[in-house]
Amino acid sequence: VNAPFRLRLIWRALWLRKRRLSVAVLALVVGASVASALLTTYADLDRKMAGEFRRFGANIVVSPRDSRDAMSAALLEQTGGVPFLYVVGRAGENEVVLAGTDLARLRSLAHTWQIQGSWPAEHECLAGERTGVKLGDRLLLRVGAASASCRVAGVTASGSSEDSQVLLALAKLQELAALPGRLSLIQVSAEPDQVEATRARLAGAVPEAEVRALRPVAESTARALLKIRAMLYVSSLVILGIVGLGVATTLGGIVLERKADIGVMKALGGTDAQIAALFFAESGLLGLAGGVAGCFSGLALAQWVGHAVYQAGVDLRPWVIPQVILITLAVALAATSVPVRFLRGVRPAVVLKGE
Amino acid sequence: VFFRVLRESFARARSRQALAVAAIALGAAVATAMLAVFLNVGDRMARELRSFGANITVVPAADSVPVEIGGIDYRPAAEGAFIAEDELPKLKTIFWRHNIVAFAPYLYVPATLSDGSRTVLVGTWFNHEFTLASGERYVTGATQTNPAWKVEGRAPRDCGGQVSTPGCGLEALVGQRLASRLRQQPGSALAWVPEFAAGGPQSATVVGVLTTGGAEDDQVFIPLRAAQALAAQPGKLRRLQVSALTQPEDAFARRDPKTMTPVEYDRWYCTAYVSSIAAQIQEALPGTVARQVRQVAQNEGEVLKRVQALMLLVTAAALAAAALAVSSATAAMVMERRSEIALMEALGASRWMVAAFFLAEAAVQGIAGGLAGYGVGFWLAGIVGREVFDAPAVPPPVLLPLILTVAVLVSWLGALAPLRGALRQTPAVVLKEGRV
Repeated sequence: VNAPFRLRLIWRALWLRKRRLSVAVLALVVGASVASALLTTYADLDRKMAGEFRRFGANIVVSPRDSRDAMSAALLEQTGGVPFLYVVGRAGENEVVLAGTDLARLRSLAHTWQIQGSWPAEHECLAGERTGVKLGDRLLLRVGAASASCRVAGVTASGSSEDSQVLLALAKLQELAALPGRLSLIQVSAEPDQVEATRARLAGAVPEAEVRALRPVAESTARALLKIRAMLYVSSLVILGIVGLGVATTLGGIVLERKADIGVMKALGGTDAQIAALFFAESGLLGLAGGVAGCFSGLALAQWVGHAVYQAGVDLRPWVIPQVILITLAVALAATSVPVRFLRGVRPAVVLKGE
Repeated sequence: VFFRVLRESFARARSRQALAVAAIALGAAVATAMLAVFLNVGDRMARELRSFGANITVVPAADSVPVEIGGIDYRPAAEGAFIAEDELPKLKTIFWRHNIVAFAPYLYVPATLSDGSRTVLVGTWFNHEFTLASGERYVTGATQTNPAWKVEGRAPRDCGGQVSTPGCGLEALVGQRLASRLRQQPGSALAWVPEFAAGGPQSATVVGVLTTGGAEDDQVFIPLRAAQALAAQPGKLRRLQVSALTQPEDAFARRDPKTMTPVEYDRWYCTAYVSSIAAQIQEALPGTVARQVRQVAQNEGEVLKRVQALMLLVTAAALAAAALAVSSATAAMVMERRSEIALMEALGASRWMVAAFFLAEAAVQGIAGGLAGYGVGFWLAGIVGREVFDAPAVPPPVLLPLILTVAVLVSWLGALAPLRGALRQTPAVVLKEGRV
């Protein structure tokens, strides 16, 4: 049998039953879109959830070896974290902890804080709600004999220690406390799966300080991520399995319907292998078409999922496309291989004439 | 005749029927398992996220300004206001008492160590046990509110108010940084001089070394009653940390409860928002202020929301896939039996009769498959739950009738389209072709 004839045979076989086949293609498209949406979502999960978990706060702390010392602010450059200097002083009448920090950098970590007023500018300060300081006050800060003043731009409620502290710009507190270039600690927020690597790198870069991973944050994050990933993984497997099954039943039914065609082909001298090859070529084409169409609708679906779940699109990964097309093709061929076995049992005379 | 045909159909073509039932059972099993896991996921993830530590902190209302860094109060132990220890069991009487996973009291006593450095002795509970009004035993303490703490050795035992009782001396859990600086390890003795308090140097046996990476690494943890004795504040504590299971906050939860109508207030009160649990704690412990630890509480809600949304979508996809598989299986079966349909029609059965017959058959298959699938799904949900969360996910009983109904509907849906096609054809033509 020559090639153009074979092609025509396949093409006619598909075209003449287009309505019946559209069901099969639809099943393949649905299967392929679910597969590509799941793969994309799964691949993007870590990065997206990691972003969520980073907000639980810093997971690495850099501090002086001896807690009585302050460390050099030069270390800040190497770690890229948020610096803090704590000094006990007086704000107005009360003895409070004055915390000097990089106000701009802290802001990204402090998005959960409830703030009355506004985030302070460099020369302003932020008072915790337990300090009893009023919004808009001009606050007199004293450390020993030195004094400075700042306007209270905001009052914060965070539920943590900041509630009883007065936060101001680092340089201002260093000057006030006569501790130029000194820090109490640096908070670093590393990617959840990079905590140990980052800790080791920082520990090598700043041997004069102690670098510790905050166990509760780092470990809880890792555990929670693991659970979410496991859950999505199991669900994806289940879904892909059952989608494959649905596609297989539909395609299998299509081969079984064509007993008469098989009889004619056999009567005309087609061998089992030739006829099987025709069927495989047919479902291969269907699989390819379904895979390509499903792949793209799946990526669109993944985008929608991303917006629904994270309010942000997911990264499209090019490797998902060939993978999904191959999977769909494999499912289509596997689904055909079961009914194709029954070819051998078809006897042309019986089938064509009837019993 | 109708029922006899139906019965015969099941008796004769057993393998074919079994195949359809198996397909439905598989679909139903997947649906049951996924729904069960989905219904459990919020609760399970919330429990997982509790390892981030307390999400509510309670302090006395009429307190002076604390001198606080890293969660530790450096004020003299006698200054300011306190919370009474004997009020604490009331926490387990609030409306959302079952959502209170753990809580721990804290009392801080500044002290000077043998090398001249300052530290804070933190008095708290370790595995503190008391009996609830319901008669249930409840164990709580610092290690319960902070499951991520790593303790090398063991937690101190509480030997009553006495700083040293024969046979049970004062025991301490020492932060890792402090321990390595003073070369302490489980079994060695740690000496200190409490500040602002009468009494000379004291010492305790180190029974464990605590690693958290945070400020705790520089502190010494002792039983609460020992700290109360040191500070001469019997039955008092400075702060209470509560770990509660909460629901993600929505726009409604962020409203000020004072501006709500009575109906809205009830709804807010009876929902496990972190703000309503904090308000209930404040009611149970008069004279205190309960605040959410915003960085933990708010982010926890965000993560929970995302995980739930993700699982909702995945579950919906699984249900759709299961429906697809079931309906394609029933469709294929009807297709196969076109000649049978034609024969029935040729023998004088009305279209309605034939349709009713096949739908009844599909219904029987749906119920049988649904039942089997529910059983398998139950087992599957248990496995998935145990693998992922170390606790089986149990499908609620309501799921059974739901799954059965959906199984029948979906198999009808699959059978309907090919059935209509088959009924539209002329029996004679099908029968002649159908010999093939």
